[in-house]
Amino acid sequence: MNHSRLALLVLCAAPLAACSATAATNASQALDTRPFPRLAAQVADGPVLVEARYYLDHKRTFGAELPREARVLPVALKLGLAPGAAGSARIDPDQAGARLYLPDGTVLASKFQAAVWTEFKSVNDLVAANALQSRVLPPWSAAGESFVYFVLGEAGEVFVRRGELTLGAGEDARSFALADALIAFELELDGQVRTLFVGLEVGNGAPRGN
Amino acid sequence: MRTLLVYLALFSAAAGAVGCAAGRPVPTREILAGELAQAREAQQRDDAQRALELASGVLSNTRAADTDSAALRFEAAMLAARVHLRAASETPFLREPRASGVPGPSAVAHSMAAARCFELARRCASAAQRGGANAVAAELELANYAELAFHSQLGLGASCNAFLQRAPGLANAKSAAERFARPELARQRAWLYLALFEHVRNRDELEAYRFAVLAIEESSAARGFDVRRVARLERWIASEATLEFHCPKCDLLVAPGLRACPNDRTPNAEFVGRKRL
Repeated sequence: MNHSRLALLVLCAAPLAACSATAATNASQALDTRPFPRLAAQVADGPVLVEARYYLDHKRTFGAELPREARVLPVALKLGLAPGAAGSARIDPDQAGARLYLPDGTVLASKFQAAVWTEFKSVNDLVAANALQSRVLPPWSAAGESFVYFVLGEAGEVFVRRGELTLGAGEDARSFALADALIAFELELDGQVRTLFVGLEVGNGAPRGN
Repeated sequence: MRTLLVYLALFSAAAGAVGCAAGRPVPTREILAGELAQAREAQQRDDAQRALELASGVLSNTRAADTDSAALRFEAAMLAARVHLRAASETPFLREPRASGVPGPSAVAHSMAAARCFELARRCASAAQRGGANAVAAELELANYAELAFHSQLGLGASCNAFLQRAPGLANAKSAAERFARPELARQRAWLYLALFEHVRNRDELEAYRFAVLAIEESSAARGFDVRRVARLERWIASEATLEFHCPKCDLLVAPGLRACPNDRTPNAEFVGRKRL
């Protein structure tokens, strides 16, 4: 009786042991294939805080789809000084050299707001009114969003749909989530030129603080 | 122009699945393996653009989910990432617009492209391992560290911290130094230690001190790790930390500008902390 129980136990245990050995092997080969966290869309660099956002429904702000009507991508920047921060920071859009890096290494330049043009005067006025202006950075609590405009080139070169940007066309087209893009620009902090980098948040809503 | 073509080719491939869907003849596995071998040779003779061109051919003719070709795809993606990383730290050939109006070489563009290649590699890593690719786990670890260094260099603290929270093995300076010993990370180490310093400085000052010392020691090899950053770390060690750091043998207070105790050559990283008086 004892022998038959022992035999039964061995028969049951053998596959379990084999299973357990396989599991151990699999565990030892387990791979961490999780994507690296996205580029942060809010950044603190010393006393300067910056946030960047692309509004999917920016037509509510400008009255037009700017990628289609003006071949630019409007990105809202919020810039301010951290609470209690000492120091003085200033941004001048003419000197900031704002640029947008896509995940494949393509880099889009920004355009002065005066050069952003549509056939609708009301849209052009809103583009100018919402553009980032030369200014000393306010405290973060008083900061609002203003826009920089990235050049999309000729129609057919770059296509924007919802939160995705496509370069090229046909078989060679390649698409990227705008949330994987990176923005850089220069500003002056205590008299020194500094380059700031920030990821891009993509979302709905209207610009805050305007 | 050639740069642009190479570059377009590589990432049209990355967009995925093009050749097969378009009904073009798909090269055999042997042909793709041959192209990958040529890409490796081009990489070894520092012909970055040719290496990328060949790697792009392999990427455009393989799919992430196809176990048969996943190993080739994985290796091509990692090779392309390495080429971009090297270009970023040595001789960037991608360009970016400048405020002056004259485009200049862009290390950041290469780092973005490398990150994209790492992501392509991650997507086929499991299939690649099943398909017999070597050292997949180690390659993915390299990808993570290279991206961490990039985010650290950009000053993106939130994404660095998000990664470090899921990498507890790096919270200790000794184990981090072992993991970062790979030669490919020589130019990134200072940025990696800086990320770790920022991650732990508010909860473990002794470990933060060690990361700061290691970052200072590695700073000369790291592109863009300027004197301002070194000075900031030295200032934290000398006056901003709530601990002060002493030689365990002679009790001398640390001099952040030196690498070791001037009395007995004990390395700064081995100093001990005690409450500042």
